[in-house]
Amino acid sequence: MLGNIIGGFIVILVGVTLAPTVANEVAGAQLNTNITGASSTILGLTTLFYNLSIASTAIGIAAQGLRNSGLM
Amino acid sequence: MLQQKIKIKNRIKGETSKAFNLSALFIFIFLFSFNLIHADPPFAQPQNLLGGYEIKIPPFDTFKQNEDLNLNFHLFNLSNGVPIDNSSTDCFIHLYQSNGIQELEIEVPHESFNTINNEWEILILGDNFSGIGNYAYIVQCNSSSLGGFESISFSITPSGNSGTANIVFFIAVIVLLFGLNLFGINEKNVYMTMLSGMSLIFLGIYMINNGIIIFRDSLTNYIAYITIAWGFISSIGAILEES
Repeated sequence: MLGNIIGGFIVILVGVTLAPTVANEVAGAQLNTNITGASSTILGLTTLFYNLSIASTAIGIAAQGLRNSGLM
Repeated sequence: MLQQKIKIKNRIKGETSKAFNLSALFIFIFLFSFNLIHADPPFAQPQNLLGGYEIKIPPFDTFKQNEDLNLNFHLFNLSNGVPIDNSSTDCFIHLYQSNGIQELEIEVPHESFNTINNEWEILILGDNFSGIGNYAYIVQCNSSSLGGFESISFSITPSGNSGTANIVFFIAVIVLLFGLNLFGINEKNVYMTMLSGMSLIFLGIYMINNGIIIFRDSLTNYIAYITIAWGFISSIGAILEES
């Protein structure tokens, strides 16, 4: 359990630290003239996908903790 | 009698072996000497004989797509090495695409405020380098009595980088991230899979921004989207499977 919490904490820390970099890169990519319309919109969602990955780590750790304690 | 025959046989064998070794050595030297032999061109360059202008341009050969290029060069008298300014000389630049179409033809101004560096300098806007590939330009300078030119080819790449070292580095990063991700999935290591998955998302965005070394088109964008999707699916999938 402790290992999972530490591992999850590292993933969240690294992910949150790099989230602004990802957002900047996505904004830069959207300025690219080759990508327009629907592709650009989907590309803009990449930041959301990235943050969802980080959020799912936290949710996963919480769910696992609840399951281990018998609450879920 | 028999011993004598054997001796003669051995001697012949030895001589044959020596001859073979010598022949091999001769062929070896002959083949490798091809690289060392260098013939002078049949005709001397006319500019060395007649004098004229020598144009020295900083030897950069790769630039970034859509980025402004500040082209500068120095002009010298070929016969005595004296720098030339714009008091009696005009310089022009002709920029060409790889299909031979002339993209730009413009006079290059001389930096009048900077007499020490004696620099000819012009800013070429990034709009002229919207396409990836090979370009070339010719700089020509002439006065009423002397002249000179220099032709330079260069590449425009999405990242401004090129060369084997960059390609090897980029491939190593791709292999490392995908390898870590697949290793994490195989070993059911959730956090390694998640970290490498998020790295793959970033790699995908980077590939959209900068292409893959010297390429950036719909194919590299497609590969980038796949990379982003793979990173996202593996990250989410790993945590869903764990919990």
